[in-house]
Amino acid sequence: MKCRCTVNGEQVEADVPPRLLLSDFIRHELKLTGTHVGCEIGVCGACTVMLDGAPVRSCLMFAVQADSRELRTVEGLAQQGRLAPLQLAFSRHHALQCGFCTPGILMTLQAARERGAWPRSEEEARELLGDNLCRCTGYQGMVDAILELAP
Amino acid sequence: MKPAPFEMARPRDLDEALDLLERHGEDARLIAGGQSLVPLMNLRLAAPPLLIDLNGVAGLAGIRLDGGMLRIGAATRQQDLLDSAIVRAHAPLIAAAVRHTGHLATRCRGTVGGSLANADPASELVLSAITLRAQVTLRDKTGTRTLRAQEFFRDALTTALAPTEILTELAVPVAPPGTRVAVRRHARRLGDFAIASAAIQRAPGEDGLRAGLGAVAAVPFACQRIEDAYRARRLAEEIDALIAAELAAIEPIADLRSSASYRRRLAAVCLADAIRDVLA
Repeated sequence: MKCRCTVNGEQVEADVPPRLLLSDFIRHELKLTGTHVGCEIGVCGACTVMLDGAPVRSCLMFAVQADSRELRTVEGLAQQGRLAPLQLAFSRHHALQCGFCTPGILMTLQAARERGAWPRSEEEARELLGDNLCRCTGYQGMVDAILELAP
Repeated sequence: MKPAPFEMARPRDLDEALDLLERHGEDARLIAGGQSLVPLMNLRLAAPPLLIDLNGVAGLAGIRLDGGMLRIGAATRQQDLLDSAIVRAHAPLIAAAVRHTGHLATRCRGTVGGSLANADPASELVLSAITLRAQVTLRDKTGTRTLRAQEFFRDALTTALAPTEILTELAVPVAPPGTRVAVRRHARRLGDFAIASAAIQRAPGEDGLRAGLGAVAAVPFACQRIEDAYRARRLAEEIDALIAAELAAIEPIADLRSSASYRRRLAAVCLADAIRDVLA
């Protein structure tokens, strides 16, 4: 089936089987390997991308369902080689260790930022971070990064 | 893991979707948000030969007031309920309950109709529908029927939906001004399936209390004894005995998340806290 979509501002078009997961389409067809695949059952959040501005688990969608939609992956956060404010805050607060979960977390947070759902307290920050599993950090650096960026 | 091969149809309107459903019968599965179905497909616990994708079907999503009812289209995303001022104002119990459903990313994709048709015992939407005496609209090629939530949910993961039908709408009685709600639940992790969840709505008037318990029995249920006691103005004095009577009448689920006895205990705590919250 045809899949024509916009990925990080660029038009892409591919002929894909219906069973191809969006996560595999992004990684194997588009070679955007910043999107990571953890559990493939929608629990860990590592594969989170933005679909028309909403955060979604790309392992729980089929590539054909992204037809005529707008996708953003972690590769789309930096502009002209400059890290986004969210990425800079993560860097300042050491909000990652191994980094495997980081792309999914950044996309969840970026979507929350753009939707006007940015956490205003530590409790809200931890609730939002509940979307994604991190096995290294204990989340504290991420909470600090979120609170620093709070409006 | 990857799903087994399947065909996908992407109908543009409801008639086309109903045609496909009738033609392919049990071989077809409807998909909207896919937040429950796709994990099962990835694990190969489900391998439907045909998926009918409802995401392109016009007119299946939306929230509107219609007299005394709030009508929610089946393809409405769960997060849209939380972002809707209409839902917060006119169905505050749904807003209070659904914020506990999954996470932002799963709610942005998961739909109202999908959650209802999946009929998970721990679903906050199922609990809300039962508690609020909501109705669901089902459509097939011959017409439309409306069922009360109590008739629609039959067992765990089992509903009255026929293989040729599509759930198109949830209709909830509008909460009058001055309504208070409380949702108390317990889950192992934030956003995980509840082990027990209690939902209470208290509207003005002697008949104004609605109480429901989810995640404990195979189907969430309305706590009739508690509602009757409120009407008779003896709820506050008899809370603990009434909760014990409600829980004595059911066989709690025992699974990996909780034993039956732990569930019973948690359910009692959640119910008591929620009731005291709206009575205070």
